[in-house]
Amino acid sequence: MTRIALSARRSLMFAALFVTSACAGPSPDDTFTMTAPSYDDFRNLTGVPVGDVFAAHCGTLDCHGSAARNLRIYSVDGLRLDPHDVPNQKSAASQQFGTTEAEYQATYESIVSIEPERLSQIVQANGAGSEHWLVLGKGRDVQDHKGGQRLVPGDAADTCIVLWVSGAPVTSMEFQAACADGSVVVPPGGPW
Amino acid sequence: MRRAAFFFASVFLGPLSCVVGCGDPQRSHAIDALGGEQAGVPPGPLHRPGQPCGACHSGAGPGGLEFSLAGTVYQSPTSTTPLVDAVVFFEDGAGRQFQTATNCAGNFFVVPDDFEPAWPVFTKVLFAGLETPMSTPIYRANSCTTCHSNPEGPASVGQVYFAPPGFTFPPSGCP
Repeated sequence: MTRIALSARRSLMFAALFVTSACAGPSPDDTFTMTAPSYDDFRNLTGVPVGDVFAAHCGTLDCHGSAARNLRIYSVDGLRLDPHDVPNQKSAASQQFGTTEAEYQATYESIVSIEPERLSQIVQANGAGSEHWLVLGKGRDVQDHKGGQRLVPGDAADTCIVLWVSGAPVTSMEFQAACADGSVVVPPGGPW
Repeated sequence: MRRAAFFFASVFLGPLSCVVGCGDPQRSHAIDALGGEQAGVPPGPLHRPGQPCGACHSGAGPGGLEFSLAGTVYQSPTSTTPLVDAVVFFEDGAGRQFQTATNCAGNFFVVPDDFEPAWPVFTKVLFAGLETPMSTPIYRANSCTTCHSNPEGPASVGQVYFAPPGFTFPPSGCP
C-alpha cells in the first residue's frame, strides 16, 4: 500500500472518530429537572391571575385560544377545557362564571412547556435573560409572530409576565398592579 | 436530444404542475365544506349568511372581492332571523373608527380600500338606540365565524347576535 493511501485512510478514520464524538447525543442517564415559575404566583389568588393577562392578550379564539396551537390559552372568554363549556358562559359543571381552576392549570402547563430549558435558566437567574424566552420574544414581536406585537416591554401585561418568571414577590404592589392593569384590553380611545 | 427534453421537463413542467396543482389545500377544503349556493340567492352581498366569508374573500381566495372584516349578525343567540339595518362599529388598535351596516341577510362586509384595520379591532353592534359590544377584541380573524360558528361549543361562542331572546324586533328579512 502506498504512503498516500495509508495517509488517506488514517485521515478518514480521524474524521470518522471526530464526527462520532462530536455528534454524540446525551447519555440515556441524563435527566432534566425543570425549574418552573410558580403556579401559585401564576394563579395569584390574592389578585388578578397571570393567566388572565395571557388570556386577554394572547388567548382569544382567533389566536392562542385554539386547540390547533402549541401554546394554548384556556379561559372563560376563549377556548374552554371542558367539552361541555362554552366561551363567555358559566361552567357546566360548577355553574360558576369565570375561568376554571382546571383551565388555569392547563394554561400554565402549556406556557411553561415552551422552551422549558431556557425558562428554567431564566427562573434560576431571577428573570435575567427573560427577553430570550420564546413566549416573550413572540409576544413582543421580536421573534417572528403572526399575531404581531401583543406585549410592549415595560407595559403592564409584559411587566406582569416578567415579574412572574423572575420570581418576584406576588404580594408586591408592582406585581399586583401590573397583573390587574395587564388583564384588561380596551380600545385606544378608552373603554366603551 | 434526450437530455434537452429532460432539461425542458425539469425547468418548465415542474413549476407549471405546481402552479396548477399546488393551491392552498386548507382553503380548498374549507371552501368545499361550505357546499353550494342557497337556491335563489346568487353570489353577492346577500349570499351565504353565517358562513366564513374569509374562506373566499381574503388573500388569494376565489371570491372576487377581498374583505378586511365581514360577517353576519342575527337577532338573538338562537334565532336564524338576521338583524337588518344594524350598525357594526369598529375601532382598531390605532384608534381609527369605521362603521358599516347589515343588509337584509344580516351580512356586512368591509373592503380594505375603506378600512384596513390595525389589530386588535374592537367592535360593537348598534340597533334601535342600543349597543352590544363584543367582550374581547379581534386579534387577527377577518371573518366573524372564525370564533362565532354554529353550533356553540368549547371553541366557539356561537353566532353573532344583538340581544337575548325576548327583545322585540321589527320585521326582518330580504324582500
